[in-house]
Amino acid sequence: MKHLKQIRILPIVLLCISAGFIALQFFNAPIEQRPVTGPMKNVPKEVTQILERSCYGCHSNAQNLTFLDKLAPISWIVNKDIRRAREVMNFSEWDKLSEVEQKGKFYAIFNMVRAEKMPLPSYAMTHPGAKLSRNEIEIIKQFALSLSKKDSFIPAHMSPVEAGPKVETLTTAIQAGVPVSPNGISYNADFKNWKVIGMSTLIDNSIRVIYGNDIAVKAIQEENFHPWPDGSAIAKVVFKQAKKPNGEIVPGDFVNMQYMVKDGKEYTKTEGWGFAKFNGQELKPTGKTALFAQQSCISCHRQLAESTGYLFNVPPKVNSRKLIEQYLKTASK
Amino acid sequence: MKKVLYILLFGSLIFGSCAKNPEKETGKIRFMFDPGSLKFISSSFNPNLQTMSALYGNQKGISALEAKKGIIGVDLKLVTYKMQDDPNYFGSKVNGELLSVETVKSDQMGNLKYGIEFGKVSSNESSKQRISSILEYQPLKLPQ
Repeated sequence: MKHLKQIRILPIVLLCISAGFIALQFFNAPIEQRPVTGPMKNVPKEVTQILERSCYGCHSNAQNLTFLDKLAPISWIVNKDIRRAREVMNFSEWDKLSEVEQKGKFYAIFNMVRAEKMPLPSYAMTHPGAKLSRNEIEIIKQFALSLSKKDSFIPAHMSPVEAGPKVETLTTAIQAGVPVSPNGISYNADFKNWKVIGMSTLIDNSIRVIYGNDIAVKAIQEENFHPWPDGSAIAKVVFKQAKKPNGEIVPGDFVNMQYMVKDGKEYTKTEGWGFAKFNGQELKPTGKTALFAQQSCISCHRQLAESTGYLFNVPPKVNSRKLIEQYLKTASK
Repeated sequence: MKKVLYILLFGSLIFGSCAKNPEKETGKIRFMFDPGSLKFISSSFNPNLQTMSALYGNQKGISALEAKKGIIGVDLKLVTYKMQDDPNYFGSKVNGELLSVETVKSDQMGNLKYGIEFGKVSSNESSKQRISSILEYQPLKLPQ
């Protein structure tokens, strides 16, 4: 009797599931179709072939979606991934980026594939052909490196003599008010009084100094950055490289100030971090809309700096405790 | 249908698994230099020696950099680290292990004295040359 009941229930359950599945399709909006307006130029074919196979599925306007990709609820995930991917980097609208940005993107691409963060593991699982071999990752690396080969440590307009101690003092001042990023974050000149938490250089010929406010410094000291406490703020100040006669590289012209401030309730779409970037002597804010952080900042931070609470430039664990204790003992004398 | 189940099954495995990627435990510690009352003046890196340095100083120290000579009350500290690859980002280099802390201070006559507070200095320069090299630093030029 019990067995007979089960047999009757099974078709009803299957029918309900099927009806639910069909109902879902009424809430299924296709991804927006956009034209290819500015494809990549001057990129070797072997590089574009890899990108087309592994990345274009999301990072372009030329998707080749399967029937399953278009079915809800899978389509919801697929469409969300494509929208986010296009925001971050779109190979079909490559001409919207400056040459410097394109170079930076190739370093980001290499870092993503090297760390096996891209293609997304879920995408690679369902699209096995998208996976990159070691050789293909090496091809991307070599191409990224080739983009910087022609550069020297010194910007073309700055000779070693000019770059020495007699660099002219920059006199341009901010004329009106405090610059404000489209997401409402203001330029915070107070960073000059914060503690320097690190220094870095990038192959884009910059030299950087990273400052942290008291809350951020305390969080680093206490390894308390999962998540970072609200109010933590980091300022990364970027300069062009200038070469001294003795071969040392020092900060030259100011390029920009990149600012991150933590507010878990305010910046929910960007892992609790608010981003701002102020460029040149005028401190012109980056971004046309408040969405710029979602479109260009958070993707690298999210994928590559998760272990340090989505913040790059936390001082690495490279000093032996004994060495530091020895130093502190000497310093306190 | 089989493919859908396959996707859902592996999708749940991926999203349900541990997403954290903790830093490699090396048994070593992070270090941020505490300059006390001194201010950060500028930084540098040396591609030949593969080192990175940060210069700190008091107001008299900054004045000495501008004058290129000793004055009474100078207190400068040059902190040098090994330069290493950024573990998070290929193409970037960051300051790594602490190598040395050099000092330039003036006596009551305003004569500059060089000292090594900690570690070993990679450069072969003499004390006098080190003072000259440190006096070559210029404060960062930030928008006003």
